[in-house]
Formats: sequence, structure tokens, C-alpha cells
Amino acid sequence: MFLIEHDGKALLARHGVAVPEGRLLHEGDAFSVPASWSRAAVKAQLAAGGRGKRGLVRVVDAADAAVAAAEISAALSASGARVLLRLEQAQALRAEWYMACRVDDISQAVEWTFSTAGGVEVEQQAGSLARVRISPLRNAYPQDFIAALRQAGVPLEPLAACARLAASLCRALVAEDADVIEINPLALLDNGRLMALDAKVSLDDSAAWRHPGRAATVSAELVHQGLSPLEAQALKRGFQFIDMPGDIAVLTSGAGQGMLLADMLQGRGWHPANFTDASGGGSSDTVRALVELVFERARRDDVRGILAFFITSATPIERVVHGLIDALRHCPAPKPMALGLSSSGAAVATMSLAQAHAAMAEAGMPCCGSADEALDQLDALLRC
Amino acid sequence: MLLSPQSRVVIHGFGGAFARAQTAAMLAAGTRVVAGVSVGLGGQQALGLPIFDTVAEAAQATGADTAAIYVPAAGARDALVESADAGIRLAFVTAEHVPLHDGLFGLAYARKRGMWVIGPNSLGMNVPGVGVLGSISQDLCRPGPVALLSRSGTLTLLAARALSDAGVGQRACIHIGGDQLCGRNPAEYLAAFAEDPHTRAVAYCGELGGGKEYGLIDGLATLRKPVVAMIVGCSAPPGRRMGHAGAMAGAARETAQAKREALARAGVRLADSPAQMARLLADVLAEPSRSR
Repeated sequence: MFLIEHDGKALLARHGVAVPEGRLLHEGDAFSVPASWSRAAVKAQLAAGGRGKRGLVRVVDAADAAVAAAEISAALSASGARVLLRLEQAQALRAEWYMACRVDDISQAVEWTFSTAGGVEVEQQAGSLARVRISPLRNAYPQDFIAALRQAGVPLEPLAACARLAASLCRALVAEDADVIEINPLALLDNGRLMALDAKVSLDDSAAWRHPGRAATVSAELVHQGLSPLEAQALKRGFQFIDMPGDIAVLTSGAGQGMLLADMLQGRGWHPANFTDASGGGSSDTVRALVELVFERARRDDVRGILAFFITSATPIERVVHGLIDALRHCPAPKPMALGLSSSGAAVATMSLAQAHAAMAEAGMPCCGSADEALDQLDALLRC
Repeated sequence: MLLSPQSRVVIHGFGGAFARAQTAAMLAAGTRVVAGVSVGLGGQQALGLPIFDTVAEAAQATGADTAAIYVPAAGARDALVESADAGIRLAFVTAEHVPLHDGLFGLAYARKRGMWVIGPNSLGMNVPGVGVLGSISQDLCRPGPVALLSRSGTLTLLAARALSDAGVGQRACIHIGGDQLCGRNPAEYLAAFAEDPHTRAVAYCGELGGGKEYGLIDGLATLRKPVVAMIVGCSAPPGRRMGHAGAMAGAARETAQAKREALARAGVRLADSPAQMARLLADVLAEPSRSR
């Protein structure tokens, strides 16, 4: 789950990172700027990056903040996004830096990166970032970062605070089950303090059960924002569905084969209309639910045919067959469909592959045994 | 790191029906499973195997040196630590959705203790002619000189079947894991297969997301054997996670297309389908003296 900036800053504040004073504004909330502020930042709250480039972040004189908020709200409404703003006190700063930490899949460590050149284009200079890797078997400590910070040009005055912040960030990454925490810009204020002016945080959904409070955050409310109705429906049922602008609806249960079939379709001049993944969901109910969603997608005019393929070695093929037959009985394929089934090992302990094919043929849906054959069959159905 | 005829396998999480079904298939495939572990069932027997409360007790009583870990995702970190502490040398973890930081800690702990981990989110390993650790069944595979590595379970199955159908036998078929972190990176597998005299070529099934394919490129110099790769996810919409926890392109270099180009520049032959992968491997094997 991606956190909106407001929730990301709340997370940082819990770990001792200074953030600007500010509040979240929902559509219709009364707008007022505290009298003590001379300048204010008005920032759209989206679970996505690139706000600055789209003009959805404005730093203005306090007197102009209401106008800026109205303009950003109008832009959000026009794009179909929920109107949600963060109003915060603008800061007088000396420098804008960049600091982030993430889990690196190759070194299998927490990787911390830093640059004294923060800002919207920091991604362009990925190669020149200072970098420190922290073993997962120990906590991060300030001294781990001193040499890298010195080398990156951090002056003596904020060096200790910057090293403490680096350690806090790496510890927060672990404690919060986050996969990325990025502060850009990290401000060196006129008063010498460090402050996170932005926060980009991505949390690991697989660890959500350890953080029950997260379901009540505004970010959690936005998880469905931007999803199509079918995508949102799939999420509620516990699997993934991605709507795509193609002409062939694709019915599979595994992510790898789903991506392969989509690529192979493109190689033959077709375009996938969706992607599905029911990771580990091998029950007949899951298969039935998948069929319903994919057929729903296939009913639209832009789809010409359906490609269905299942391969299993752990999930009993019997469950796939029963799920398919049951679904087809209640909901016949709305467009021409090619079907492939392949199975082996423990998956054929209670029903052999030959029996599975025979059961499908009996149900009026003959099938083949490989992805290539299923694609050939689809070609034959649609190009004749 | 490969399952061998001498490997003695303990099944961790033996209380569940899924683990029992997989164990029965492993036994039928000739894998030397020697024990099960399930807290509270110690002293009982199932499928003719003794059950112990801990991996350490199982290892001490049976000499188990390999673990198939079938515990739920929330218990994977603890199971890895328990296996590593019990002296297990090779373990595979089937659970999907293991919390990222649990994996990070558990895999680092295992690495420090010298335990090679396949997974998490893995179907395991098949060594044709020897046995199965997990769910990649014998009837998909046939013995031969190709080491098949894959980030996707279903692609492992599809590729193994395509290779076997084309007469291209395998030294091993390994689903290294579909999560952002896998126990050992592709380059480490390449280093292991570089030393294996029975391996003549490597087949690799990768996907968009993360840096594993770049790690693979780093390992090519050590391998000095030809590699054929298939990278899926070329048609993935930008910024979307494609099922697997590791399958999302967070940066331009993480797209399937960028990886294909980088692999091609490094001399890796690229396939668009399992069948084409099998044909390319057959060609490669017909040129015995040629390296990548």
C-alpha cells in the first residue's frame, strides 16, 4: 500500500523525524491558515508520485493559500481523483537534500541512499547517490552513515543529526514493514534543523496483519482509487485482476503464465484485455470467481475471444475442472474460447489429466494440453 | 545445493493436508523423506514417517539435512531460523506472501549458517533421476544437461515440459521463488552450476521487476556456459504489480523489455516462449564447445 504524504509524514513523525506543521483537508472542510504562518504549502494528496510536475503542489504566501487550494481541488476533480489536500507551514530552508531507504533484492539488505542534490529530478542521478547497506541481522546505527555523509558533502553542523536521521529511517523501514521510505526533499532549514518536506512510503501488504490500525488510514481508503470496477471486485475476492485495453480476455490462475500468455498473444498480433492472478488460490470457488470476472470483461465489445489456460502441479486439477464446469454451466462463454489444461504430480492424484480433458469435453468445452496449442486454437477460431 | 540421492528430507509443517499430499508425491518420486515436524504431533506417525515436535529433534534422530517448509507465511521466518539452527543445509519454502522483512531476516540468518534456501513462494526443485523437493513432478522432467531456473512457478512447469517434449533433458529444474527476495540470487545459482560438470547450459525464466536479471548478467563471467532466457511481462501496464510480489517495474531498467535488451547485450539468447526456449537450447547443446 502506498501512503499519501500526510500518512507518510505521520509515520515519520512516530519515528522522531521532524515534519512541517500541517493538516489534512477533505472536500468541503473549512479552509483557514494559522495567523502565525507567513507562507503555506498546499499539496494534493495522491497515492502516486509526480504531483509537482502536474502543478498539484504550490508554495504560496499565506494570503494566497485559499486560491491555490481551490485551483488544486478543481484540477483533482477534473481528473476524477478524490479532493484531498494537505495544508502545511512552508519552511525557510538553506538546502534540499534526498534521503531514502529500501529493501534491495540483490544484496538482500536494507539499502540507504543519500544526495545533497534533492528535488524532483533525483531519479536521474541514481548512479551518484551515496549508498550504505545494513545487514538485516542488526539494527542501523548513526555511525554506519558518517563516512558516507561526510563524503557526500554534508557540513559538520548537521552531520550528527543527519546520521541519527539515517539510522531512524532504516529502523522505521523494518518496524513499519515498509519496502520504501523516501524523503525528497529533506530540508536543511535556516535554523540548522533537518525536516522532511515530503514523504513517499510504500508498505508491505503481506505484513498488514501486524498493523491492524492501517485499515483505518486515509491511504487505505484510497487503495481502490483508480481501479476499474472489475479490478476492485477482484481485490475484494482476494485475487488480482488488471484491466487492459486489448481484444483477448485471458483466463489463468498463475502470474507467470498470465504474463507469458499476454506476451505470446502480442507476438501473434493480439492484445491481452486483462491479467489475472489467483496466487495459491486453487479452490473451485476461486476458479469460478475468476471465470465470472474474465467473462464480464469478455462481454465488452472490444474483446473478440477468450484464451484460458491452467497448469498445476500442486493444486489438484480436479478442482480446476469442477470450478470451470460449474462456472460454464451458469455462465456460458460470451465469446469464442480456447482452453488448455496441463497438470502433473500431486495435482493428478485424484483425477488424471486425461480424465480432466474428458470431463471438459463432456461439458462441451474440449481442451488441449499446451499454451501453444491453445493459442493455435484461438487463432483458428478467430481468424477463420 | 542440489537434492542428491543422499539427501535426507524433513517436512516442516507436516500437520497440514497440503503438506501431506506433497509429501506423498515426493515419496512416490523416490525422494528420501525421513521425518515430519509438527508441534504437538511429536511421537506420532503419518505416511510411514516419524513425526517430531522440532526440526532439531528430527535432524538428530534421522540425520535429516534438507527441509521442505510448508508452514504458513507468518511462520516462515521462524521456520528458517529453526532449520538453520538444526544444521539443515538445503531448505525450500513454499509459502507466498511472507512479510518482506521476515524474509530479509530469515534468509540472512540462513545464509550466515550456510543453509541454501529455495523460495519463499516456490514450487521447489526437481533433480531428474534423483527426486523432488516440492511440487515439480517427475513426469514433467527428464535427465539431461540443462539447469532450469525460474522466478515463476507456472513458468517452471511450462518450461520443464517444453524442454522435455523437445528432448532437452535437465540437470535440475528450480523455482527460485516469486517474491521480491529469493533465498539465493540467480548469480549464486550460476556460480554453483559453473562448478557442476553435469551442467552444460542454463535456461532462465525471468520477469519484470527488481534487479535479479542484472544479477544474472553479473554471474555470466563465472558461469562460462551458454544461457537461454525468457523474460515475461513485456505487455504489462506501467506501474502495476503483476501478481508476484517481485513483479513490478519500479524503474525503467526493471521493465521486461529493458532486461531483455541488457541480457541480449551480455550474450544471452532470448526466447519468446517455452517451445522456442527448448529449440534454442537444443541448438546450443548441438555446439558442445561453444560458450555464451
